[in-house]
Amino acid sequence: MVKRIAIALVASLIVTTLATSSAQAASEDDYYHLVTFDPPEGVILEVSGLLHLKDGRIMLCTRGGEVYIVENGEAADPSQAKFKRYAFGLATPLGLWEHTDGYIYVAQRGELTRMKDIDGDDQADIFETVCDDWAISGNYHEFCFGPRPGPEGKFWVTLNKPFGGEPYGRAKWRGWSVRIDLKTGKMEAMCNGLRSPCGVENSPWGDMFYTDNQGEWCNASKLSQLVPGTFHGHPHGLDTVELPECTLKEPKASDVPNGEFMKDLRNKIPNFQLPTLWFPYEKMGKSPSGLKWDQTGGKFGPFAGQIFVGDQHHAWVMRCFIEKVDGHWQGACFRFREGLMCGVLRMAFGNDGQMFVGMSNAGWGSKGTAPWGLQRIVWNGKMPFEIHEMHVKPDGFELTSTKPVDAEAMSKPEAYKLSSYTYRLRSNYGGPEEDVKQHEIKSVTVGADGKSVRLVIDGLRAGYVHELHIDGAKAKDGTELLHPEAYYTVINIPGGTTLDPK
Amino acid sequence: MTRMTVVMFCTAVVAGSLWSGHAAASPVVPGYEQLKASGKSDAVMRGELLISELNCLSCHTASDAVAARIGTKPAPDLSNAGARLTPQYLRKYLTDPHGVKPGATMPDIFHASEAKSRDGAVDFLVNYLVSRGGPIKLDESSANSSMVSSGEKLFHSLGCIACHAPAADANKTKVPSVPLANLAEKTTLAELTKFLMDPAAIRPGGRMPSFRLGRDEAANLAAYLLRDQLDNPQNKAGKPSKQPGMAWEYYEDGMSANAPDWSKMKPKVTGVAPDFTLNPSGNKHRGDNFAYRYTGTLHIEKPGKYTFWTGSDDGSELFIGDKQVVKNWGAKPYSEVHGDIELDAGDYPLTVTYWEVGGQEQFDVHWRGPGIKKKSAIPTGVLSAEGGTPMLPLNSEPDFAVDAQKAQMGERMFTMLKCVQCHSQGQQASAAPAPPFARKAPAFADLNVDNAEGCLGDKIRKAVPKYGFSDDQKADIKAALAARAKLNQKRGPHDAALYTLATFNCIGCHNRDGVGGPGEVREKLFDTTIKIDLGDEGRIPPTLTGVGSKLRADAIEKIVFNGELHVREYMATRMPTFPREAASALVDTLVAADFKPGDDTKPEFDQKSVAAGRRLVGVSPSPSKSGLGCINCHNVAGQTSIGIPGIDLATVHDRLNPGWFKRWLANPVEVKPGTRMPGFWAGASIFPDVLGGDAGKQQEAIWNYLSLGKSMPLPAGFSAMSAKNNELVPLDVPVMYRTFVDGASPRGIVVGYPEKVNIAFDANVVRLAEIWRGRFWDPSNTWTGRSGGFGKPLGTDVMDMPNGPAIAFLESEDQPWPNPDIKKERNVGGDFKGYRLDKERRPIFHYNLKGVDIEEALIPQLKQGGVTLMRRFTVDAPSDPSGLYVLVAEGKKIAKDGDAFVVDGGKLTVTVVKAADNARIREVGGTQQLVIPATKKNAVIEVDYKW
Repeated sequence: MVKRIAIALVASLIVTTLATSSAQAASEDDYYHLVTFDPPEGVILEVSGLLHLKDGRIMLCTRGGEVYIVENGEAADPSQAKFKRYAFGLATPLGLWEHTDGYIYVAQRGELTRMKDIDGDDQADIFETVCDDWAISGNYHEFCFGPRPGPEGKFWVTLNKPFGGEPYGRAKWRGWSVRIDLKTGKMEAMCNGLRSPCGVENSPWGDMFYTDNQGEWCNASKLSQLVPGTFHGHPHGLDTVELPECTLKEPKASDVPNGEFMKDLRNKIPNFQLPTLWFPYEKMGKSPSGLKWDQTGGKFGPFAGQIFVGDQHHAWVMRCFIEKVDGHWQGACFRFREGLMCGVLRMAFGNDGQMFVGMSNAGWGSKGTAPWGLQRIVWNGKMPFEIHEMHVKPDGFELTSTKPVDAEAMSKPEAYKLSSYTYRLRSNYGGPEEDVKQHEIKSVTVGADGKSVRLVIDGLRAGYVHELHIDGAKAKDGTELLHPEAYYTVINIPGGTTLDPK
Repeated sequence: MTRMTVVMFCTAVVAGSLWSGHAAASPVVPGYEQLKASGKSDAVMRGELLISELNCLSCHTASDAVAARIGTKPAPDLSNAGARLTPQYLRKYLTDPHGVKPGATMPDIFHASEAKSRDGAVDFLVNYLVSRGGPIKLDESSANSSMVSSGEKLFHSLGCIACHAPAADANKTKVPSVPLANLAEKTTLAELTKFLMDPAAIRPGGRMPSFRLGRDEAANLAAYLLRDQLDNPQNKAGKPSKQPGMAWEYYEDGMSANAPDWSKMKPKVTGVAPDFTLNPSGNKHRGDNFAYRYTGTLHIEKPGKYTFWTGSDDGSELFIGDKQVVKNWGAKPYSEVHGDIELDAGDYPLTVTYWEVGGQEQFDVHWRGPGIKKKSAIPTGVLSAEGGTPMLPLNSEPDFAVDAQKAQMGERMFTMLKCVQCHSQGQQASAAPAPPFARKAPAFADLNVDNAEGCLGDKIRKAVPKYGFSDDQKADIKAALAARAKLNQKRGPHDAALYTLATFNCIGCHNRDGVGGPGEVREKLFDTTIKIDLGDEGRIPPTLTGVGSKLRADAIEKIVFNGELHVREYMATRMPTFPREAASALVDTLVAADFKPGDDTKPEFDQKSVAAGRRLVGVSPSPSKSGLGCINCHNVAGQTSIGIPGIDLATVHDRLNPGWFKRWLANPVEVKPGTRMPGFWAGASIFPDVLGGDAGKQQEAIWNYLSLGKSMPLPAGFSAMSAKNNELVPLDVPVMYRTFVDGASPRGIVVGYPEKVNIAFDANVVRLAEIWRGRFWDPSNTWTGRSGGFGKPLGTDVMDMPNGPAIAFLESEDQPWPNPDIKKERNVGGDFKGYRLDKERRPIFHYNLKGVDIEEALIPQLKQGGVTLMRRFTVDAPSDPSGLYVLVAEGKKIAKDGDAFVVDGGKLTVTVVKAADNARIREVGGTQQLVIPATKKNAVIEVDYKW
């Protein structure tokens, strides 16, 4: 016992020394550290769905078709976690939801299924097909994501479009979001023009959102709102509008021009949906995946109410702040926590408000180094210095911070570098930042609250990402800004130009 | 005719004052068009390129320095022209080159001549050119639609369409296409095949590069390019070649248990193959609902009684002449049927057909007879087929004979009209004196750009070549001429590289510094050889920005001249090979433009560094052993990656400069915007424990490891992820897996029971699809990489269940059982409702057919002599269902044997264990079916399968 205390003392000394030496250049690890699970031999956690169960445990599904319950996952020592197999044999399940009817709902490639443990042994006994009305041709790219309940109580899923030419072609309902009535099992067309919508999530206020991966007809990855009846850009799924049961009839594939700026398409396609925000390639998301609202009420740090978005390629988690401007949800994305084991697919918050992150590298490489993994991101209670929120104003932006700022360092206009650019809707696989402009910062004012900064610039551009870099930003306590970049997608300018009339 | 007469004739042709009024497309020089389309080139360079590619300096002589800078494109070698060009084409082309071939680079010499004198001159020239090795041989070429369709695929995937027009959207390309007009009239399949295999032999300039085509590829491509010849009415005169084997036709759709009505179907692909297989000539059939018909001649040596067999899953037939010898019908498991026939010695028409409805497929043909004691395959030697349709060039003139006198006149005209200036014919160039009327073309330095009667003018004088320049082209040439004083200077290194790339139209496929690339219309046709999304990197040839820094000079040589080091095996487009003599500037200019000192500096090599590199390339679940996981996306020394099959890392050392490689690893996106290659060293190294976390040393370690090339020991990660370890083995409880099942559908459910029997259920059609014994399932196709591909049973005794569902409503007992197209129709057996697991964790399937709930349980039974499979149907209907039946089995013949029903002589034996009504055998459309009525609202029917 005496020995152990001594070791602990030495350890804490080391930690203190390290903390002092890194006080100037803060790292993500100083605020959010990673805990890595090492499951028993034979348990392969290619995590493709994560769920915080009502009984407090964590449930996850894997790309191999298994479902596990994780008990004691919040223990400080991750080896205390227990893994129980709840179900097996599913077809590439990519999302889980627990409903008030006591069933677990799971999105498989070919159907929405609900399952239940009848005899209380933590193993599902019944598997009921709720809806299997979409087509599946056998192409690897025909994934199904979700389910998430919409405000009307129906379950939404997003359906990947197949990749490649014949014989896969354009399977019906692929590239769509549909919602399913749990009572009748019938599905309804909601949105079309999706490409690879790996994440779908219900916001706390009910609106549905999803992430989409860059590729053909999606020149930059994005977060978008699933507004019923809207078209999101990818024309390959539009053959489906010919089906009699498809209630969403617009647009026709021939209505979709190739190569125009996304921002201008509202004029050509009335139900065209502009994104909530773009993730500029490489700088932010290369392959955005799951998204999760922080509803921990502050247990996970200062970002309550904001959205966390995983990225498969970068093996990191990003953060988004969104606001509604003239009826359109738009906002900014920031880096949050990098260096996870491999490609991030799913996140969920546990009992203690800390984040579970599920990962897989299968088929798509990532910056991470493990083939698959389950980790937790845990906040240690220290306040990082971060841009907290980024609001658009008629003449610029307002930034708020997580800590009081060093007013001198933060009020120099030359510390701020702002550029803007946009994207086209094109058949090419990914696209460059186009029509790039460097902006002039006309004035910077630190707010009376000591935590906000008001930027006036030489004219916002509606339909453009505004990329901001801040040099030498400091908090009052001397800490540097952890992530000095922000990417705000302006769709509507308050009291100004409006691209989205809704 | 004397020489004087020729001169006078020539004078008549080209002298005089008739102005040309012919409007035609301007000459297409693809590299020029790419430069122009890029918006990033200057007019002087574009003008110089036109001067080079239209060979202006062959008449307008320039100083050595200017000539070296501008260059020249040698015209086609005509020394053997008659052997490959038809007289009718030559006549039309020489008469009106730009009308016959819009976009041609050859000038029109006769644009201002009177028709009569022009025609006479053309006649002389045609006789002369045909005399050079001709006339072309017309009886050596035949082809068929299979060759044409293979050639069409090659044409659109290999890269031909980077310069030439794709079949669809030909007029929508931003950059105009190099014309291929009237090929079907111009030459024969044999000659075009020869040309495509070695274009530089005829066109030494290398503008048409070699795609290293095999003879078959070249012939198929030629068949496609000459496809109009297939419909040439003159073909009747030609003889189809006979070849050993059978002609085959491949059909899709409309199959059933009965023989298809061949007269109502159109074959999708045809060919000739040496034997009876399901993949004749490598043809890929689809999974279900297809057919083959083989036709040919059977040679019988010895008279007597012959026996023929066909074995098929599903149907087949064999005819000798009109007589049906074998009838093997039915949508059924594999079975053989034979028939006998007396034959005299001689030749007989033979027709064999095969059709597949659904499920598994198998097909073979055998015979026995006098001198053939054992049942054996029919040897190719006694089979013969017509080798396709003879293909004659359109408007062929089989009787054309060279008039020696005209040819002699033509030879002189060839020189006098200055054809010889471009079409170098060796000694002839100096043999003929300049005719008195022919003014020598002004030297390059003396050219007057404003001469209205010159090549660039609006009123081109007779005898001055007319190119049909566009206004833009004229302006660009004039810009180059205006800069003449400076054209004796060497070009800067970057301009020199671009000029060379434009000369050979490398920028038709590749982009360099924002110039070039296939453009929107063509780009769509660039594809991968695998159906995996690799982004544009997987299908569009790579950027050439900085390529002289990236690639070793000797690697560029190997790639460009030798056809080696083509490492993007996933890319359908083939990098062509250029003649070294003509294209040597490609290596020199790229290296001069891009190579930076240090690019070729190799890092220090030591064992420790190699070991670190090996670790970094690999991947492991153990953090202390794991690396960056390069093998997630890259093959290594022939070992396929665990994810997507990216460039083999064993080729890196042979191709790349080490300095460039280090920059690339450090920041891939900066080197190649938009790449999927991840950057691992943006901040601190992820592996502080490898080489002290030094990013530079880690990057060098990877180089050192890869420098071992093909002899590198494999990194960690392949064995752990190997597919072999994935096999599902049911031990104590059943194992089930929902996946893509080849014999079922993408909504397949396979279940393996510990008793070593296995089933596949199709939740798409809603039916039991297959049962088998032994090993169960390998899920590797969906457990590795991107989770694609259909799987098949691992075990033995695979039995296809009936194509239709197990349960159906019939209006009468002789109504045919539902027989769905299992690849297209859904829910024929009802709506799939899921399954529950019983106490032994066996799934019990649940489906609903028109309001009737059905549960289907499959329960292996341990019996003496082996395991059988019990199938239990439990019906739950609101009232007694009228007309509801269970289809227990079907086959060609079902016989009752005591309590059991024996299907097709024992392939399957069925015992009815429990049923309120008697089972009955019925026959519909040549197929016997065992059905049991399920007339009670809570009926339970149990049957036992032994197979």
